[in-house]
Amino acid sequence: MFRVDDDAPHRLFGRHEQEFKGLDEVRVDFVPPFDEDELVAEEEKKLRVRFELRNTDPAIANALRRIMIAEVETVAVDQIGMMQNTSIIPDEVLVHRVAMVPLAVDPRHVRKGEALFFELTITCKGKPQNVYSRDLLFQPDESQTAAFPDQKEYWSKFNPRPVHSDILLAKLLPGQQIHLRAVCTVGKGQDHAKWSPVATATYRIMPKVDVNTARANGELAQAIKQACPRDVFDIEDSGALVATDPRRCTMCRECVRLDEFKGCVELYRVSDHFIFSVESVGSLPPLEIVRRAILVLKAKAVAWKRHLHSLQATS
Amino acid sequence: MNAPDREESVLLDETTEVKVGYKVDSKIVNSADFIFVKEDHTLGNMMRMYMRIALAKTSKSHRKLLEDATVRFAGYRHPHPLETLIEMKVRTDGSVTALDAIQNATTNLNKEIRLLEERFRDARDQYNESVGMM
Ligand code: SF4
Repeated sequence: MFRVDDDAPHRLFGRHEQEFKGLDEVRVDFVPPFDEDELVAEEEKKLRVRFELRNTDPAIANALRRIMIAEVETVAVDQIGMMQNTSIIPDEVLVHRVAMVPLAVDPRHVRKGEALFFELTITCKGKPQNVYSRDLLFQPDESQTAAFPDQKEYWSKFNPRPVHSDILLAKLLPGQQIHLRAVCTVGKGQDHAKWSPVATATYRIMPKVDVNTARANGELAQAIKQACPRDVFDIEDSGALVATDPRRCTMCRECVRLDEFKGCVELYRVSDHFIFSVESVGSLPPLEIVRRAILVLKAKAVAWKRHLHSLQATS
Repeated sequence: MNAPDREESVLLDETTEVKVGYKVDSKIVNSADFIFVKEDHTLGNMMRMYMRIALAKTSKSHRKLLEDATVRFAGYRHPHPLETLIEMKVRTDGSVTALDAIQNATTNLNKEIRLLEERFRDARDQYNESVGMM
C-alpha cells in the first residue's frame, strides 16, 4: 500500500495499535439514521437497520457481513416447470426473472423436505397486458399434499406471497399465454444470490477526526468548516474548530487538502469500531437477519471447536 | 455437462471427504498444516486472527485479549476458487503444539462470539423499546 501523505485515511487507531481491549468490552449499539436517509420512503426505512459493533476484531465484523450475504437461509424459487409460454420473452429469461422475485416466506416455517409451489396462469384477452409478481399464486401441489396433507391450512396462517406485488415479469399481447409452476425451497446465498436475504450488508470503519485547536481557529477554522461537505465541524465560542460529528465523515480529505490547512486536522480510522448498514430484500426483517447471522456464526464457531478438539495429536 | 453440482461447493460429501485435516509438518519444527473442507474466508480469516490472540485473566471478572507470543506464524489460503477449502499453516515457539494453539484459538473465538450474541440481544431489546415508545 502506498501512502498519500501522513494524513492518509488508512492510518489505523485502535485495537491493533494500542494494547488489546478487554474481551468484555464488545459492544453493539443501534444508531439513529443519517439525514440522507430522510430521502428514503417510510416503507423502505423498515427494511434497513444501522448498528455499530465496537471493540472486536475485523475478522468477526467481516465474518458477520459475509454470513448475512451468503449463509442466512431464505426461501426462493428453485425450479420452474414451464407448461406454456407463447409470450415474446424466452423461457430461460422468464424463468430467471421469476426466480429473482423475493418471497415473503420465513424459512423457519418450512418443514423438513417441504417445497412450496407457486403457479402463474395468465392468458391475455383484449388489450395488451402486463404480468406482475402478484400473479404468482401459492398453489399446493399433489406431490406435496401427499407428504404434508395439511399444507394448505398450515400455510394459510403465513400467507406465502411475493414481497412486492408490482414487479413486472413479462408483457403479453392478446392471445399470448404463460403457464408455469415454480417450486420454492430453502437455500443460502452461497448457492445462488436469489437466496440472499440482503440487498446490501456493509460496514465501514469509524472515522476519527482530530483537530489541532492551537492552529485551527479564527478564519482558518471557518475555512475548514466551509470546506467540509459533510458538516463534520463546528466552531466553538472561542473560535476554535471542533469535530462534532466524525461519524458523518466520508474521508474525502477536503479538510487537509489545501496547503494552508496543513497541521490543523488529522484523520484516522478507529480500527475496532464498525458501522454496519443492512438492507433487507423484504423476506425477513433486517434485525432478524442480523440475529440469524449471529446464530449461524455461533453455530460455525461451536462446530469448529468440536472438529478441532476431536483431533488427536500426532507427532 | 461436466459442471460440478451446485451443492458440491457447499455441502460436505461424507463418503469421500472429511471436514478437517491435520498433518504435522516434518520439514519445519513445531508447525502443522490444517485443511478445513467446505469452508471459505469467513472461517479462514477468523481462525487466522484468533490464532494471534491469547486470552488472559487479569482478575476474577476481567479478561483481556493479548497478542499470543507462543504462535510464531498463522496463515491461511484458499488455494483455488473452484475448490472450497481452506489450508492453514501454524507454527508455534515449541511451548505448545500447533494443535493446542488452534484449539485455544477456537475456544477464544467461541467466547467472543457468545459475548457478541449477548450484547446484540441487549442492544436489540433496547432499540425495540425505544422504537416502540416513539
Ligand atoms: S475528510 Fe471530508 S468529510 Fe471528513 S472531516 Fe474532512 S472534509 Fe469533512
